[in-house]
Amino acid sequence: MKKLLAIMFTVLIAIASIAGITVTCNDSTFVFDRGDFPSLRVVTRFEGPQPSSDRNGSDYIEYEAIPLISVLEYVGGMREGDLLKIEADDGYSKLFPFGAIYGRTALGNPYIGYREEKPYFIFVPDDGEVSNEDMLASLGEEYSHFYDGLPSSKGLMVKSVSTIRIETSRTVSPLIMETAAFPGPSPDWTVEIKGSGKKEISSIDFEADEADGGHYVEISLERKGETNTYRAIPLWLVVAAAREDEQKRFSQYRELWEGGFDITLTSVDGYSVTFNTLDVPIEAIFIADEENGEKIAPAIVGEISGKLWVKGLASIELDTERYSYEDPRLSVSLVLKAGGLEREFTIADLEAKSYYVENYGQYITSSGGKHGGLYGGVELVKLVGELVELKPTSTIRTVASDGYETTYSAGEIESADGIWIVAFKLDGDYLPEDPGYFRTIKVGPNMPAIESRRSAKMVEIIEVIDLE
Amino acid sequence: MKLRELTVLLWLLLNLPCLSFEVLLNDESIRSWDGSLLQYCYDLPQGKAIPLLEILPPVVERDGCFLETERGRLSDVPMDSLLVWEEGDWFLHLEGEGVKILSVAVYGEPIDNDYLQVWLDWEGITALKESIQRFSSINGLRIETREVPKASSKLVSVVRARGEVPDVIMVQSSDISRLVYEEAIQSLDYIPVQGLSGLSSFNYEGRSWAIPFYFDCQLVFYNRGLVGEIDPGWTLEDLENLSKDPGSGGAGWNIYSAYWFIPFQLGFGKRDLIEDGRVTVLDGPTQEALGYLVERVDDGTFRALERDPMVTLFASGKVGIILSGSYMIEQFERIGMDFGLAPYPEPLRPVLDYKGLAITRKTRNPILARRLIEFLTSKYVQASFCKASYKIPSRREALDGMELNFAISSSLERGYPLPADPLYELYKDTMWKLIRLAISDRLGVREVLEKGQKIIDENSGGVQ
Amino acid sequence: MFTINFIKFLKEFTVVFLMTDGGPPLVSGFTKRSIIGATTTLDIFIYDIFTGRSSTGIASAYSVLTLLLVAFVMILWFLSSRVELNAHLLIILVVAAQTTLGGYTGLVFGGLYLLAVWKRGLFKYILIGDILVSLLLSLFNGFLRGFNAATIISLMVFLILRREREGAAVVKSGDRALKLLTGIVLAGVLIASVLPLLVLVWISLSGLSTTYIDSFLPRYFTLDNFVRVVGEEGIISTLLNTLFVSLVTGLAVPLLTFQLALALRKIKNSLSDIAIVILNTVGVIGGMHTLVPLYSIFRTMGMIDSYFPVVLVYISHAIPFSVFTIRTYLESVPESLEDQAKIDGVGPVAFGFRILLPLSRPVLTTSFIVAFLGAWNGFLAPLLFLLSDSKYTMGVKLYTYVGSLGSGNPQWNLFGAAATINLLVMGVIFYTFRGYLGKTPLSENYE
Repeated sequence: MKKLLAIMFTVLIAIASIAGITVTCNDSTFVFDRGDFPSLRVVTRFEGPQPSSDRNGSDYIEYEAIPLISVLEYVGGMREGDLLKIEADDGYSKLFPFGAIYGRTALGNPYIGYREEKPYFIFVPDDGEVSNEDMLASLGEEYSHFYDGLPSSKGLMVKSVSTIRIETSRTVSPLIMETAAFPGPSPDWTVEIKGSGKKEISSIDFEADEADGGHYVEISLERKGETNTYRAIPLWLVVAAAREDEQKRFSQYRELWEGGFDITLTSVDGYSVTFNTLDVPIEAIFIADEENGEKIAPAIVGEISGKLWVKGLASIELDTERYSYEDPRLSVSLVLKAGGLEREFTIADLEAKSYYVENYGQYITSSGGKHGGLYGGVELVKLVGELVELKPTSTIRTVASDGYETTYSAGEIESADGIWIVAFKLDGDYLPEDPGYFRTIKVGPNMPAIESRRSAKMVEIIEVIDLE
Repeated sequence: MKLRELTVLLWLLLNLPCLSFEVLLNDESIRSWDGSLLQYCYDLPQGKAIPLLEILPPVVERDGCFLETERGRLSDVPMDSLLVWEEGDWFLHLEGEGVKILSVAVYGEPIDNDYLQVWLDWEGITALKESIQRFSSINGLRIETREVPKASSKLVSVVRARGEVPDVIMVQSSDISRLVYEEAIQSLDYIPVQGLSGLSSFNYEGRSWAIPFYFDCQLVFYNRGLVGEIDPGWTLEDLENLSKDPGSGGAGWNIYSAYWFIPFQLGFGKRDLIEDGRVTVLDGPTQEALGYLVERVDDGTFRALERDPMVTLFASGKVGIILSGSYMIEQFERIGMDFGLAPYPEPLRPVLDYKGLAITRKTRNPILARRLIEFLTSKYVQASFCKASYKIPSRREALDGMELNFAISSSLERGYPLPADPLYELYKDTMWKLIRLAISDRLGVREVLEKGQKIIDENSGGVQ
Repeated sequence: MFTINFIKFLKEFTVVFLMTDGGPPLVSGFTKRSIIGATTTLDIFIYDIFTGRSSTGIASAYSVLTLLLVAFVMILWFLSSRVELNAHLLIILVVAAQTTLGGYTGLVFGGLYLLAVWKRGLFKYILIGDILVSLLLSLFNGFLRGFNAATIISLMVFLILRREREGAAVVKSGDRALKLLTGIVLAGVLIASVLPLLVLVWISLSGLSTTYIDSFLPRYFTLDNFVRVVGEEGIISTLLNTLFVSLVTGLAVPLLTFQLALALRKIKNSLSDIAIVILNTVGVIGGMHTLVPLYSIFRTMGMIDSYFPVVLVYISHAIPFSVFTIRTYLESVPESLEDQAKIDGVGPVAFGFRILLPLSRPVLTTSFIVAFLGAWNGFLAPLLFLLSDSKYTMGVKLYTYVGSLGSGNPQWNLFGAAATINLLVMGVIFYTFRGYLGKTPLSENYE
């Protein structure tokens, strides 16, 4: 028994590290993996309990790093007073105050850096070294790390991160990348974005992004034998911000980008160049407003061909024809109503849930035809459990998009030979629009069968009714 | 045995002089030129020569250009310095001296795309295709040239339909406003244009939209046999007198056309066709000019002839003096006529009709497009193209090498380039009808111009 | 036939525009926005307004009016050939037209035409008076002010009524006079057709680019133009391109329209008439503005720079006429033939394909030729859809020599040479198939 558990535990850990890092804040959880975000190369080093000359600190190590703050935004970000807990899969954890993560302390910016496929939590300060002094100055005694009584900034680095948790006392409603309007000072410059409607990005937006510490990064580029540093925002982000509809995750933008569409960049002096996104990697192209510490008119920079280095950018035009292709499934959502509360979940939300399962199920039609396979979805009870606890007298009612209703008693749902789920995947593929993105079905290793009329399709709303 | 030895010797002999010079880009050899460069050379007083500019590989930005010669390394060599073929080798001619070239090194980011598509319209297309082919061959590029009638109209349709646009397109001044409105071309303020004439023809809304390439100018053609020689400094009165002379055959041209009327308007005092964003036909100079022409036609001094009868009668010696464009020179030379050219008599100002090269807004290769345009507007290319096609180059320096008729060079100075403003088209379309009515005496000059002004004002509102 | 041609030339734009650009202005032609010339037809007027860059709303309004006018004329004609002719109704129509469109004279003539309702014979004379008055007024007040548009409608109604009475003794007495008149008209038509050809050949032989003919042979006679056109300009390959496109179009149109005509033959008269009216009216709408969205579609399909969109456009242009002609022809097939076939056990489908199809060979050939010739001279479609100049057809090639008149330097001599070659080829084709036009197995002259 113990052996089995140990094996399972190891397997779980393995799965956890492959499956990605869980980021949570109260009820908001999502699992992210490396491909979801753009990364940059960073180098950093941590001092050990002895001064660095003793070389028991870490060496300078290079990572492919993702800014942590971008990740945190997906669960609502941190506010003053919150704490951030970084957990490793071996149980090691560190706690950090809000100020250390957002405050641009001597520790620099926090990142999830990948090295040899493993995620590390690191800081990257401006001088490239996290010294003990930096640590003490930024975290104080309470949160600094000590080894044998001596301050050791090496302990701030967390290896093999498994969970990132924001500990907060407030209720959080997940916000994803607010693009708020900024009234107030007039911008130094604006760039028009044409394509899906017309929008503008201005120096104020850049300043705001800098304050959020989001994607406004510093990059070094070599050109014509000279190395210059720029502060810039990736072009894809600017392009994404111009879209009117719901925000997507980076992996989805990457898909669009790699689908290939045209972007035309025009300068104030009229110079205009068009390129196809297939020819330029998404992480390679930026809009910079600062060069070597000095503010400049917005310019396109990056590891790109010289013809694309447009100075004094005036407008960006997207070839909307292809860019506005929308996978309708991405905007579809399931509504859960229970206990007077209402919640909406997108397929992406649900797939990120910890109670997302995949198992076998089938339904049998009146003529005897069997339909089934490996379904993927969220456990119905646990889904409902996000709002209320299911009582023995409760009834669950599903409403389909054509109005058809199916009711389940609590007893039926909590049956023994399988788990009822709201499925949105079958055999690895998402359920198609016809017959419907969501279906209720019972799944289990023995492929339990239900009558086809008990499997509700085209589900849009799930209601919990308590008859009092 | 002997034959083989001979062949080897021959091959050696042939190749020995072809110890060429190399062209390097970022320290990498990309080309070596020997006698094979001769096919691209011009026949100049110095011999078979080619300017340095034409053999430099196109780059995004030239960071440096060095020439290794017998006398050492040279930098900052003027781009129009000539490489001359002498005794089987290439010599750089600098300040009157020739020095043997060993290599040419250029530093800069290479252009990553070697493809361009060019749309050509109007005349001189064959010669233009050849010039472009030169650029393409020397640099190993793929440039596709297409003859497209109504090119700017087609570009607008293609842009609207989101089709594949060319990179470079040949335009005339009247196309500009429409192309700008449709966002089909990009403004070319960033391309330096010193030494080119006719810039105002492609200026619209304060920006420059095309680089002038060549132009046609209005000239006076006269039959030497009937008229004798005309003094280039002649006046309008001289023209009248000559025309009245019965032996001269008289003077005739398409008096009805607005295009041929403009020189008179300008000659009688009008400064610009479009002033303060408005076309005025009711002003003094216009009335005077129109009145003048009406009288001269009435009393028989001048004959109002449409283009085709004018050309035919002139060619058959029945009319001695005509007003026509420089594009007719080739025609009359071809039929072997003995004709002379004179500039417009004072105070008339001839119209200069420019064609230019524009870069589309959605081009994927703007830098190479710009290099092509720079090539085509360079001194020697302009001279050779224009000589072959009877056009007048926009680069003033190229005129020097062309032994242009004095009539043409003086026309350039006094000439009036057609404006890009869409109001010009409105003016032209309305004016010819007004002139016709006035000359046929159906309406008086003042009356017709009053009515015309109303129509122009009414329609100006819709013009963007 | 009259109606079809009327509509066709109502829409005629290219020829008039290219030749005269609206013609010399008329004093009476001053309107608020433009000056109408002697040859400013409706389309040119619309074009002028459109390029005058006033709001496109006005141009659209005119276009819609043209559309309505065309539809009106077509409906009128079809009604006349179907409905039990109610002469009274038609005359009332004339009266209405006169009073609304005719101004003061219209009121007078409206009253006069009313008399014709009772005494039909008067119609002819009132019409003559109408025409004369129109002419007189035009002379005095200028064409536009003097001319009465309602006169045309009266003329049309007269022709319709007259057709009705065909066979009746109308012109027995004036037989010889009629023959003379016909002879004069025919001679005029002949001269009018041959003259342009002569001019074309003349200019093609001239070393000077001009269309002004002042001598029997060009002063600078040369065959050089033909040499240039074939040698440098590659006119042969252009001809081959054009041949290909025209052949495909010519073969496709009868193939596609025969079934439709067959089906329409079966449908009740009025419905099938409506179908044809719709087809023709829709055909009027075509033009540059419809080509832009077509371009977009073809681009998505990756078919730009291929002949497919060009051929498709030509086929769609040729369909209305083809359907109309074939159906009319099929209608002349007596019912008895079909009945006989039924007796022999031939079903309707077999009847259509095994009997009607071979019978229809002449009309199918007509359809082929018309479509072929229409495709041969096309200009806009190949200009827009073809990118490589090696694929251009004759229409585009000819244009490159001339440009629009305003370009200042048209090469008439090269144009003449190319156009002459073009006409020769077309002429040969036409000559080969001349036998099929107008003959049917059911007509008396068929051999």
